[in-house]
Amino acid sequence: MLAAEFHASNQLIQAIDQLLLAGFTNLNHTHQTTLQRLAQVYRGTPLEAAMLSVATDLSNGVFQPASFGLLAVARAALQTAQYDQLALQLRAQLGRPTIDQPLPTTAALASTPPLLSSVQHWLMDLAVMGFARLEPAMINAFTPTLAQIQANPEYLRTAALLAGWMHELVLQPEQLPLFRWADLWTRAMLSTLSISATPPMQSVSGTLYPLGFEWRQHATLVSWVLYAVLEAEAAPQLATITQSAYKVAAIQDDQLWLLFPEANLLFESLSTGKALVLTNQQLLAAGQLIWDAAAATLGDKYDLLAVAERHFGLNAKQPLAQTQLAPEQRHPIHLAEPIVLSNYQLAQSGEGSSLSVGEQRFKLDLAAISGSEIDVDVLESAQRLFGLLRFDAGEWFVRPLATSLKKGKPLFIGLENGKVFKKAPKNNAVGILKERASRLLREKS
Amino acid sequence: MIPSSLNPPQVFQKSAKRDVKEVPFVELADGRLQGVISSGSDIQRVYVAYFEARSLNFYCSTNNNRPCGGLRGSPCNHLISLLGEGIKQFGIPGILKYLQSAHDPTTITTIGDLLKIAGHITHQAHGAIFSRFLGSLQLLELPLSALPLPEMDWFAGGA
Repeated sequence: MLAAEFHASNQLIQAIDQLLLAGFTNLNHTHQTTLQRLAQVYRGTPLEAAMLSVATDLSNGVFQPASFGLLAVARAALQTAQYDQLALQLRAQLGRPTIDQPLPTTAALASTPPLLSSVQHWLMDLAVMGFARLEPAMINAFTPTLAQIQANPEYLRTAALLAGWMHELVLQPEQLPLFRWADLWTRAMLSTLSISATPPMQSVSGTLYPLGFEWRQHATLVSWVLYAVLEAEAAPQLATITQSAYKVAAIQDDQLWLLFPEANLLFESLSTGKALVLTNQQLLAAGQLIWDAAAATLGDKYDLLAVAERHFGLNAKQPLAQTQLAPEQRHPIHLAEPIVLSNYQLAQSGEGSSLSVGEQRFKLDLAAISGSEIDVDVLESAQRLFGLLRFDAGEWFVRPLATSLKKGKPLFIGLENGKVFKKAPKNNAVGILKERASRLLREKS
Repeated sequence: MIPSSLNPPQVFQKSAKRDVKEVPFVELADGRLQGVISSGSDIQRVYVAYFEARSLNFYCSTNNNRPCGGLRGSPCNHLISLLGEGIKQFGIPGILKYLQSAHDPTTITTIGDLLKIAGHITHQAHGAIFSRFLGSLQLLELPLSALPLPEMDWFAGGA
């Protein structure tokens, strides 16, 4: 059950989105009221004075990037509150501890670098015009800036969002996904307001038990997150490893793995069920390992589902806490609570599929598993899975990442495609295109 | 109804496996289906070809702007390959929509149907296509990132 506050904040978010849809040169009376409501919501907060003046400026057609930056902050803060509320509710329900770790401080940029300033101006132009009236010329005009942002690793977050969104803007879908696009607009704007400096790291040694990969991708970027349990000197903890690589649209499916040579060892660990012994790997405070395959070797056998169940089962013997994202990054879409479900009842209906354990019912993320190694049939006979509880469109759902039909033989998302490490494909798009790149780009210079 | 933050399925669709050896680059951009096609005989040479929106007029030339010898009134083999790989990547409906074709999409279901509605030769080379190809290749030379990238949660799926 979602709390009334969630619905109230969601209503306000959707009202803001109507402004982005219509465009700030076309505000009607309802839109003007939304700006006033927004200013009211922030009364008594540090943003009060700034929000009031932004609401007045935007109502009067005074457009500056800073005003739209603050509008993005206002929309994002509502989602931060939603994230906090949902996370608390879920942890309480699952009986998991919460960690109050010191939050990383993100310094606002004293002055905006020229490239990020171009991004802000373009995002402002889109908002002023309105998502409903975007012209291809306006979208294409951003291409050269995007290429420059992509070339600078410091701007990866901005580039990742904008490259994916540009691809959608160009395709002009029949039904404009307003909420999603407003999210992307907001996060892109936020990403120009601060740069997270390289966070402090510490060196760890210990044993890593990989539990599953989650893949994310758009036309020009692919990224995976490995969820794992890390047993270092201290108590066991949830650890994640992320790698991201630029790509071109023609690189797909199994070829994607070839962009990540260092993932080979993680894949081998998962597919053979052998834990990894880490020596001096770098670990960020929030539990993210900076993967270095050279500092890891295969170790003893482990039972993926047994390890996962001990820490993430519904009645886990040793429940693990998860560290919080920095406040400016919190958004319900980032909620990803590891979970193991056992002895479930799988029910399929016209509205989708769900897994029930006792009184608890979990909606199944069918889109994530259809055609995968762990489709509904496999899950039906496996009776146990490791996955993530995620939240979107007002509901929680389980996105399965791994299961097993035979003890000690893990099945996981990516298992089939990862076989590419053992046997390179005949038509290796990554190899062919990289070879082209090296020839043509050198020739040019 | 609370709306979704995730990809609508019509945007995130998987395409058929592309042959990048023959056609290393194909895209819908700048009002064209455009791309780069390898020469069958010379590894150093590539052809740059496109179909324009609305008219479906077309052209094919080498990256040094020499007209393609195979282009005689109708689309050459390079243009046919480009169209074939474009269909794999975007689907026929996607191409028709982007090129704003006036034809009834239900009557055009094969590459042959598409070729029948092609327009005329333009004799106009566009240098931007080859630059965009080089730009896309540059992406492959950028280093990997091993830092967290929560922003990609908006693009869940695949692999």
